[in-house]
Amino acid sequence: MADNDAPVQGESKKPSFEKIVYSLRPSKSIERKMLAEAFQRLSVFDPLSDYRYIGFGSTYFADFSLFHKSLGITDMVSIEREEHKRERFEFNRPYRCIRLEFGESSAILPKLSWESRTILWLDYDGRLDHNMLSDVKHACASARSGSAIVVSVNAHPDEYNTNRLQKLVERLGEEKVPIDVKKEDLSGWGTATVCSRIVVNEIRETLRARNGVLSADDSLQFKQLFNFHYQDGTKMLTVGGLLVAQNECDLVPKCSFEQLPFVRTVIEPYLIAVPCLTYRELRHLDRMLPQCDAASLDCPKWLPSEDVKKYAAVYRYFPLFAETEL
Amino acid sequence: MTEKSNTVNARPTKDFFIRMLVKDITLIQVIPDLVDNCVDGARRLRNNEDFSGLWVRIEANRDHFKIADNCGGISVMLARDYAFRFGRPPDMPTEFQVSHSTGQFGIGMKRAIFKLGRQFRVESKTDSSRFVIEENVGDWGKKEEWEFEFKELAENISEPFPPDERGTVLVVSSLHGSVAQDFTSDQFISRLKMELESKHKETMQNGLAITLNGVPLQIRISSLLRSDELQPALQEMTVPTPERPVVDVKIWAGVSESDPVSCGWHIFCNGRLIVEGDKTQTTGWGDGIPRYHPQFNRFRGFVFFDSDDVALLPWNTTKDGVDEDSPTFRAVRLKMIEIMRPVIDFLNQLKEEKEETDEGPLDMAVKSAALFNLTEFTEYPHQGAASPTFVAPKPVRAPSKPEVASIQYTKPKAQIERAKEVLGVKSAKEVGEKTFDYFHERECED
Repeated sequence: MADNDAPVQGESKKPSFEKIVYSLRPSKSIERKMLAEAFQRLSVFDPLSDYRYIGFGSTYFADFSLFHKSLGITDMVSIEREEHKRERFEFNRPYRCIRLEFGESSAILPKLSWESRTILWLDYDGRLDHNMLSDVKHACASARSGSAIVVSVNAHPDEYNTNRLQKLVERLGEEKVPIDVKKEDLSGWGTATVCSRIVVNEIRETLRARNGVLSADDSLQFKQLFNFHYQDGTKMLTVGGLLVAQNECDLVPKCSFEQLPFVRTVIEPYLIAVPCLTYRELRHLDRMLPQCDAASLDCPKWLPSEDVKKYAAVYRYFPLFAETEL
Repeated sequence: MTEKSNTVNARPTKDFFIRMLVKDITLIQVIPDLVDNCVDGARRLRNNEDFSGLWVRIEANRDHFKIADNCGGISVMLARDYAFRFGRPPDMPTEFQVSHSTGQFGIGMKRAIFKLGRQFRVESKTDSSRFVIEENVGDWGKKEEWEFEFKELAENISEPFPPDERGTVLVVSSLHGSVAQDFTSDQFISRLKMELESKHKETMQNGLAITLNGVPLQIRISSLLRSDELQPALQEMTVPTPERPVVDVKIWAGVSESDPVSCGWHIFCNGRLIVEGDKTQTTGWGDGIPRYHPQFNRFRGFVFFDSDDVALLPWNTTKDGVDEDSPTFRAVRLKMIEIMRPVIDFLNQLKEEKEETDEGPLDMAVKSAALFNLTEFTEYPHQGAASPTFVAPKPVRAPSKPEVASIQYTKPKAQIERAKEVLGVKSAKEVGEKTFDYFHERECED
């Protein structure tokens, strides 16, 4: 994973692929499918087969497999920092079309060509820091109109008895932290809310500088689409959206992103909540879905209505795990 | 041409002031410049430089910029003849002059207004007068006259305004496009806050409370490490000038926390920071002293120039650099180099010591010293807490050790980790040493 080394809440310094079995993180799995569904709508700009995907595939390549199969993208680049395990990554590469680039994302991103429209998912597992913001800056300084930039970070609050604001300033630099943020704002999901604002600020600031020498037609805007909060143990944030040139802005409404219930164009997040239900219960609910009003579902009384509601919101993306012998 | 004249036209144009002068200064600099005017108000009000109870409130957003203070206000008389002039006339009566002023170039407010936008309004109240000036910069630019008109005016008011209302409010609206964009940027506002905090740290330490968009600014204290065995250098000098007020100079040099940003020289003129963390030839680096290098990150030097006559201070009108041609600064710079030398030597010795051992006497002297606030210090200059030259412990020459050589090699990380566990040690270095000892003991000793 091209991410920072900062020790993270409840986690050791090991790279995440060695301690988490990716496919068993249900929220992450739901998020990935939601992103894929949103990316499908980029075909308004160009056929998705002409897009490029850049991500951090790790040894699991879950995002690569999904985006290759569901979007048909064949130009794929996985950035991987653990060069000394090169052979293992090569071995696990699920498709021939995935190119592996070894090195820090900060070194690889500026080296890539940015001529094709790109879907970039900077899926870090560390806390937001200035190196990540400089990745965001590199990408936004180069990506073409119609490209999607998505950033995921650990947004768990720092330990209770530390000065959370000071920690945030230490990781990001004083300039990046808005002046109205107080340390009390960083508890619970507060760190995620503040980090999402900081990432969006960095994107907008970079585009503003870039627009300085572009004609009005070519000047780029950022349209936020994603602001996910989710938790597979640790609180995580995913924020991102589209870069669109003024002369392509009329394509955005044609994507009808607003039809997707998880799309968030504002600071209010979409919380991916995972229900705790058995397979038998899920199958029972599936037969009654879709249904806009989850409360009206004909469910046994003993089935927690909260879980039913959660399931109704995510059932199309919900992963089914089973023990199998392959 | 109808008539030949013996003169050439050298009169200023308004356009020069509105569009050219603003190019010399960045947006982030003009706002501390406006605060300088408030500080001058505070100085006029409180000769003792205790500004507690006085405030400056700054608002910057998409629609407008506003700076309000309760620093006494501008009297109608001062406004009528002096406050809005471009440049200060030399015959300004002494009752209007502010000693130790920071805002007396006669350029700050106008340049700031032109930099910010196209419409402004100034309202000021003293104990007994009140006025409002409102102007559209574009309309004013087209007029032949240089005057601004009072829109509202009241003098000799019998019932005085309460003290907290005596002050000035400047509002600039119809902001220029890029200004409005900057004011909606969180990052710009953060940078502005940092700039105000550093440029006005002296006045804030004197009690002036400044807020930006409702957020109180933090005081950034200038501090040095001090203990019985580690004392910063302090030298004071007075630069005489024929028939004019003098310039008082205080130079501090010593060590503080290791920080690549604030390391270097800091220069203040009448309490206003004009140079921050300088590591260039301007302040003597590389001139009889090594060039800046990260091993000097603990070095701090502070120079305070103070004078009743702002013209004698070595600053430029944008207050972001020293006037290197000023004879006063040239003389002081020599002093700075002299005072800096022992601190740099000490930091070199500290580095040498660290290469030998982690807890040598120099390192311990630094670690056991306490930070303290320079401003507090200047009020008690004779308590023996500083000395004219930097005082630090001497390095201890290590007794000569048996000749050594180092070995370096690379092994798979997993194997090293395992060896650490078996040896019960924490670092790769220890693994190297212990495994060598193990081999040496078994195979090399008699």
